[in-house]
Amino acid sequence: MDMKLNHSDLSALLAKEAGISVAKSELFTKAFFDLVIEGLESDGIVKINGLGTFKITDVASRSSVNVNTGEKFEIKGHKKLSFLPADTLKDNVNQPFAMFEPVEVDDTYSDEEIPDSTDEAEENVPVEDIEAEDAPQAETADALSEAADNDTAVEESAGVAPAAEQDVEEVVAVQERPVEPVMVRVPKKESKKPVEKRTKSHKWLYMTLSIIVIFSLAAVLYFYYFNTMPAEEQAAAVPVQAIESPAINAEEKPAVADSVDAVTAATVDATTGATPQDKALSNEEQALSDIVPSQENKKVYEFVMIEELSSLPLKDITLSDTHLYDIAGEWKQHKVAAGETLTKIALIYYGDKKLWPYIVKHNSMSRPDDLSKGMTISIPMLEPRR
Amino acid sequence: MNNKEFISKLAKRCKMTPAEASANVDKFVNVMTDRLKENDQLNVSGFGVLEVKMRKERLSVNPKTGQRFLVPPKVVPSFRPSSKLKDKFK
Repeated sequence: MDMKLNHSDLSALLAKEAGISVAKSELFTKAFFDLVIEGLESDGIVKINGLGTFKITDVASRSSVNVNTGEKFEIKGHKKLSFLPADTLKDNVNQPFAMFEPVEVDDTYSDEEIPDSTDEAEENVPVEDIEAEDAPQAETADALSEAADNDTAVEESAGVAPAAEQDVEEVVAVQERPVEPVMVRVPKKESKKPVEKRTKSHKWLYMTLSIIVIFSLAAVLYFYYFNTMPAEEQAAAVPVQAIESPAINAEEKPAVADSVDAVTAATVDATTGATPQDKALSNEEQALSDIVPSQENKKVYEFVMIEELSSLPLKDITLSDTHLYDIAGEWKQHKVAAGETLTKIALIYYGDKKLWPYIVKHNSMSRPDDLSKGMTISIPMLEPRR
Repeated sequence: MNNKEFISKLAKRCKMTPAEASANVDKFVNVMTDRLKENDQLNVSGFGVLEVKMRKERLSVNPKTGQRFLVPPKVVPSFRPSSKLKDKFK
């Protein structure tokens, strides 16, 4: 994925595919590209089935302006090598997006409304991101219950509960697609709905419903992550103790549980006669919220604190942030495996990749990037500076 | 130069039968297609770079009817000739 391959890599791959020697395949690929160039020189066009057409095209002369002096001058016409991919190559490469087709945009929207709706839709995405990273707070719980209220009100006034259920499923389906859900969601719905039903209240319905679904997904993922996290990692997270007192966290916890309840309640409300999937979802949430406070809650709190620390905006974090700790002797020995970096090691032991400078300091390494496989480094025990 | 001419010349140059050359060209094209599918970039020095580019979705208007279409996002293969090759044909 996203690799840069050169000529010899390609030859090696061909040798494997065709079952010929690497030397032979290298000669073949070299001849292949040389011949394309020669063909272009002689005919100006080379067509290769399955790949495409290389062609020399004319570029007409055009006038331009010198940006420094404002003088007009002419860019002379010249020739350019262009490549026209074959249909098979195009289709193959475009496979992830093959299911999309151009959709006619309905004219009932004016030009001003279109950018509006896309803006609103885009707002959903940052909310999701933030929620996924941060612990759900009391404020979000409030916001949620408000949203739920709005939602039910809208539903009653519009009297379109069955439609709402459908929409939820649709939104979920679209969101689960990995590629840029936002831009797809808007047109698809537009095309499916009859014109008369498209009112302002509908728009709000979509909005509130999608927000609720996003929040509930985020909550599920959040708790799921902590429950399934390897015990090892949790233990590793402990040595860096939280700076704030656990009492604050204890207060936070009920709020979190509340927010989960609110979310489940909201989803159940919104989807009257919900699908079995939805019910299973809410059951899972409840089960999770039951388990979390009883089991290992202290560890979880501490980890939450560390994560909050590391989720500070990037510009606020400098190396000075890491000076909150003192090195208090050696903690563990670590044998560097292939592909490991100092930040990765810091992430493994402290749950925070920004603490790597301590490892450097403790090992008195002259060059931080001088890390080799099989090297043994010692991991310092860190204590918060009072 | 069409595909047939290309293959016969390639066969002569590599001292293969045209059938062999054709099979190898197909395999080579398959290899490149698979790599491009994986978002890889194929750098061939002296020739250029074959890569894939993301095209975002856009609104297009049919100038005759005024109908507006949302054209979906897509991934397209593209070729950037090396500067050497570019200068050669300029």
